[in-house]
Amino acid sequence: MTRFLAFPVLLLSLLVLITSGPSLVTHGKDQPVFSTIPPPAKPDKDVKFNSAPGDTSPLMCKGHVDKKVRMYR
Amino acid sequence: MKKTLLIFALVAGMLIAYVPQRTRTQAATTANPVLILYDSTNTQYGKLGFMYAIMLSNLLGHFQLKADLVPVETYTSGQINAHQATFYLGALYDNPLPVSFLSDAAQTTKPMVWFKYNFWKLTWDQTYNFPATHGFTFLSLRGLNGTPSASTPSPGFFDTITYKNKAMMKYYAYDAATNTVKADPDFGLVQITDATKATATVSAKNSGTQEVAPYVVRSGNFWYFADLPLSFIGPRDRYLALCDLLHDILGINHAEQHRAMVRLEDVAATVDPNAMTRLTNFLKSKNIKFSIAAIPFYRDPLGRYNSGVPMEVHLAQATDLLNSLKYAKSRGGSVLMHGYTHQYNNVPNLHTAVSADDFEFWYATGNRPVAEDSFAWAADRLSAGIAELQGSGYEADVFEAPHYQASPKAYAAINGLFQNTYQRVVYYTAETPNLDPNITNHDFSGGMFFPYVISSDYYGQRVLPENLGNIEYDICNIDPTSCFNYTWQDLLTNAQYGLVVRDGFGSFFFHPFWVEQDLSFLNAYNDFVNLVNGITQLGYTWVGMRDLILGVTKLSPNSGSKSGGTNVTIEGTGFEAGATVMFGNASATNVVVVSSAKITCRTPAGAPGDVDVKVTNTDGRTAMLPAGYKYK
Repeated sequence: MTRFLAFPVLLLSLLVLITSGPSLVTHGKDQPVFSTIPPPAKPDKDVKFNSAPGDTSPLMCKGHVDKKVRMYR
Repeated sequence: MKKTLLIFALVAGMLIAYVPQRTRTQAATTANPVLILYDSTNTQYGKLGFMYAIMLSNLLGHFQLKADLVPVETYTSGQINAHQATFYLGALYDNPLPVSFLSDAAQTTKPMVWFKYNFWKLTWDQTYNFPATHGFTFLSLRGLNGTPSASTPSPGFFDTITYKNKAMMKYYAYDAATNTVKADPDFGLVQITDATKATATVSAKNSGTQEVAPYVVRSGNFWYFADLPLSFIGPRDRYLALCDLLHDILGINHAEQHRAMVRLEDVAATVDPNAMTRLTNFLKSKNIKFSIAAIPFYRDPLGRYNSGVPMEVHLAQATDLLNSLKYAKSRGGSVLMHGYTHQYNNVPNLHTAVSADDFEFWYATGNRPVAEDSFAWAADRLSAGIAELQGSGYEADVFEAPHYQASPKAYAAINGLFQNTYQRVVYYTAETPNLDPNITNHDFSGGMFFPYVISSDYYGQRVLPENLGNIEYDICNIDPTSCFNYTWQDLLTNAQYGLVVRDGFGSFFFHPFWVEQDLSFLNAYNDFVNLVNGITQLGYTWVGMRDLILGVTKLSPNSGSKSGGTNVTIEGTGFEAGATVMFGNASATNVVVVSSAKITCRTPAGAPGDVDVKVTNTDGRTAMLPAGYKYK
């Protein structure tokens, strides 16, 4: 009977060993556990934002000035 | 007994199978790049975090660092300590954060930087004991001081960051017609609870309430930024503080050094030689090297500027252009390629379909790639331009995208054909981006300027900086598309702000057409002179773009004993501290980088005959002078 149970007991021990390891803070397979801390109030909920990352410098320039009457070589 | 052995073998095998898997996982991340974690939950702004991650990774290119860009939701335990530094970009309010990330962020001793949102998940959760260990905690989120309206368009917020005695105003614009705000006012208010552990290294002021609060807090290896200094960036923006602080965060200091550059822009077949001569003569009189952004093939398919008659001029036939380039080159000018035609095809792509007016590698009219967009399509155009420049005797190793914008595929082609770019750059969250804001989880684009050289950006490009902008004049009464002023004083102020970055450039461009005779009433020449003199007076040192490009031109002496030990002076450009020198396959000794143009060293022993001489900068770039030295 003891020998009969040895295999499942060892497997169970191994399972416990794996799931109690210090690096395993996940549930299931690679499913992170997420923080449940409630957030602070979000400001400006009623403001309509137009979000745009990046450069706001005024660079939209043309290579010519349209001077109407102009003769190019 | 057999069964016992079988069980032992099975368990041992399972253990072996388990352990190497963990080892492989760790090994895959031991290359030690920087980790950039970004929010990516699928929302209207779901890809904004990725956009910021790309932008931040570009700045790391100044430090020759590579980055792993990882959605924070997929974080797995140990990733932070497997990287040399970690940045978390809190772009989405209340985005889910894995506890493994929070735990590692709280405990790591490596540089850890947290931007903007979700800091409360770390500091308010007693599990991590963050306030006690780091000496500061999150208080609340602040935004606009009130709801903007036509009567109160600017209610104020924490909008002024003070860094190195420069007040940096965050971008804000309110459109009363649509009741829409363009700004990023949200601000993470924190409190320092133990001044022996945490310090506010940068502060912010609320222009409405006059409150002052920490903007950047440092506690040992941990840094917190109250917002995301990659949104709405500008030449006087807190973005510059980030660009400078990265040296401290990464522990890679660069000596205080300020260089200036000037580029004459959109120089094509229709250039006015008198304007070019005038500008060239002035720069030569100041011994200032300069660059010329040349357009090899001029096209005006609709005859927009030629009385309705279509016009095309290749470089080889562009007499005025060739004469202007030749004159400039002999006086410190250096040519780069500014598109092939700097226009798209026979229909206007935003303006006139004329070279220098329109976009070439981006369909600006529809804010999307052009219909033909592909690596091959862009490479064909670029190759045609290279052939025209080289055919007229000019190097074609530096590129600037027309209007600073190309598609991701075109940027890839540019990177494949040019060792250097000299520009601002637009980045996207997909290779074929869909920028329609009405689509959930749509793509984003973000334009960036750099205050210093980027060795390798997201596209792999080496980017020489242009960070001050260009002089513009409001002449709406003459040209209804030239309707805003950007003065030389504006650019000079930008240059003053550029000094806050310890190795920041002051780099601008200028259109020669502003000094043409029929626009003389603008006094643009005087403005150009005032700007150049003003930048000089700020303490910048003028350099040419080729000073930043590695090259070997001459060895003195260029021959010596096969036994080695000959002291040699190497002349060239772009030499950087720490450069190494090879004579054939052997390393030179006593290498001293005297300046960016001069190296002294001692030859190794070598077999009689010619050998190549190769200089390698610390970022891996190399330049070689074939058969540059002869062993006797």
